[in-house]
Amino acid sequence: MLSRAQVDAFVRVHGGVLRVAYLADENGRIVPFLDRLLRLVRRLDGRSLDTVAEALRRQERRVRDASRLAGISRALLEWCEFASPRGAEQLPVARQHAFAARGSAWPPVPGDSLLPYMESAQSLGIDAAELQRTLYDDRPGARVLLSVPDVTGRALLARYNLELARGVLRDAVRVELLARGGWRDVFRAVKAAGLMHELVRSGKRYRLLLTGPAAAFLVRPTRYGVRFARVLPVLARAPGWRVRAELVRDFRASSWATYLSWLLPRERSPL
Amino acid sequence: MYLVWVCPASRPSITFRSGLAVLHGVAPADAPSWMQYDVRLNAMVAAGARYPELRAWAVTQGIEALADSAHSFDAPLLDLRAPREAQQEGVRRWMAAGQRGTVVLPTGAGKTLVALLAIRETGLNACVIVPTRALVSQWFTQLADAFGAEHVGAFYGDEKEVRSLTVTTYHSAFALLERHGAQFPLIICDEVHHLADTADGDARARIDALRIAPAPHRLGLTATYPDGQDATLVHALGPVVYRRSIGEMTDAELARFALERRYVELTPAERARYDTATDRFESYAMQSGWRTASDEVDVAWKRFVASARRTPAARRALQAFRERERVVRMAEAKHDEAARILRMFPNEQSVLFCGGTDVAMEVSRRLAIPLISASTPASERHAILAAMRDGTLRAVASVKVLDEGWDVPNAKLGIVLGDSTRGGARQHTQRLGRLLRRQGDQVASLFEVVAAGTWEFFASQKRGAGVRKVAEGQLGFGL
Repeated sequence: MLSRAQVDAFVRVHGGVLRVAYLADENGRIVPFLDRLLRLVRRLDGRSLDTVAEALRRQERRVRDASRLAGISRALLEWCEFASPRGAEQLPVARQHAFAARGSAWPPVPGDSLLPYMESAQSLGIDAAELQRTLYDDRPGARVLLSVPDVTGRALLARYNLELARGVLRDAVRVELLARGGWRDVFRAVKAAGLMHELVRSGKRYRLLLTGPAAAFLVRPTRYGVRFARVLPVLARAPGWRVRAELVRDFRASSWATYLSWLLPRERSPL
Repeated sequence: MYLVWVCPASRPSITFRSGLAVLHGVAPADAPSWMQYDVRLNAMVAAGARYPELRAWAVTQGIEALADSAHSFDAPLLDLRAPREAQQEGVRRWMAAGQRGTVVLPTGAGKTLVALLAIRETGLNACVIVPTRALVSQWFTQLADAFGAEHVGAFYGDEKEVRSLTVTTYHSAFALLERHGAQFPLIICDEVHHLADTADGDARARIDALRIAPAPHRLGLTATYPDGQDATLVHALGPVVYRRSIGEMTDAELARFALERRYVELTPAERARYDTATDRFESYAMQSGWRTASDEVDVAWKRFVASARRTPAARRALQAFRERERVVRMAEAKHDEAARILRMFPNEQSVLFCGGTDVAMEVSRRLAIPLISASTPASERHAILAAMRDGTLRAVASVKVLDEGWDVPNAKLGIVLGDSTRGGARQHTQRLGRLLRRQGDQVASLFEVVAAGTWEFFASQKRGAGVRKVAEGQLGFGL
């Protein structure tokens, strides 16, 4: 999910109604830029998450608003697939042995920096220098890029706008969904998110009211906001959904509504 | 028109579900008056904390409690310390008060042992809630040493292991207790003053975990009870049942140590990078005047950082600032100096304080010593500390975790390679004081390795001022 700062930079509340400055491509330059970002990331196949993130961050020099780029980068990175490098699962044990070996050969003296790694490296089938270099390759930033979604810049734009909408739901206390179909996936997502619901018939359609289980008894009912956000991507796959939410931001209530089809560019908002 | 899924007429029963005390199969008119009808469940509900009340009512009505199993904990207490009189009396008073309430004891008086005794006396599974990740590790270690590591889990961040005794933070407690609350009939809240009455929304919301937890037995621990601001606390945990002040206890003595500063030079390449980054940063500061935008340094800085979002020149200046910090943090000569100092004290166990995770990892790799940071799992930290205690390990690199409540037994040598607080004297003193616990007449040695001709010189001066002030004959911690 986008961070609060990445969302709040593009949200305004006026008269109790919250509006989101979604990213638009009025001048026709945004989508080509996003296409270039995707090509850049595809060239980094096999590189670490830290490396890919840094490469995206360096594109700041091409944009005016770094918060937009940060949000787009985050949305893209979460869309990509990363995995631990081969052998990373053995590193905790290798570390333990290396540190114990150093404890036996104490204190460290010039020229012996690889000595503690030799035995562990041998059992892993690599040389000591490589084990020393990759010692912490089981941490999250060392995961390597496996695949980038096969999408265009336009799809990335829609994805980013969807992530903005999800970020807004972080402050929701109650969400109402108006739908034409696709119920099974929605109910599954609602249950998986640990939310509760009421189903209300409205003419020929149904309204689904989502709330947090114990929200009525909490100081902070927005505690369930992140869970509401988890349900939104499921809705994006179904046509004709409308979302309405009651939000509490800075102790003030506001309302927000969107049709998911409106998450494609509509408003002027330069990158 | 409401469409409601109506369950077939069910036998009355009670359960705890998702933070709620739930009563099925009883009409609203026949249910306790403090419950309300929930259309989502087609049942009567109340906050989870009222589950013990609901259970007591259900017994009088002959109503069944679903999935209500006793969660007893019968592992023996392996802690061989003889409890002090204050600790024993604290537990006695808490037991007599119906196993609800707060025990107030000064810093260093052994509140943890009070908690261990409470677990032993009640014989119940317990959830321990603490304010920080660093304290999760400390409590994990102490519970593991007292009852056996196989009984202890940690629930926070990326670590989600639920066991008979589980340690969590105030931030993560809600998620744990919403799902697993029924497993913990005893809740222990450390540093319970964090639940004091306040207008701060985030702080007030900490109480939510206790509002939904069905635990009937609750123990609060603190050295600084928020008298006059405790309405919420008393409602959630019970009143103060025992209190002793610092004047009535033996003082914990501040460790005495020798402080030495060692200067190292940047390499020519590092110096070039440092100077280039400094020029860029300072040029922008002069040109934009952001430093004078406010009388308060912190406010001016925050405005500058915010402006970097939308102003490319400000962004480049901020990047230059971060680059020069990195050059200093990662200076090559610091690693060599650290190794030299370790060789000067070959028989001492050491802690290397690092200014960031990147340099801590580099130190760990070069010297083949373990690293402890906020993201190190509690079980791994416990293993590292155990190995330090038995002498298998001789040194550890750390990032930030020593800011609060984390002791490295036997360590008598500290090497400061960087400080993420940029000269925060109080934090620095606290870290060092907690690390270098005095043992007998031993004097600890503390080295600061500083990159000469950089901003780090001034940060080091600031840190040193705080340390000297504390070292000048000050007894009693009070930190």
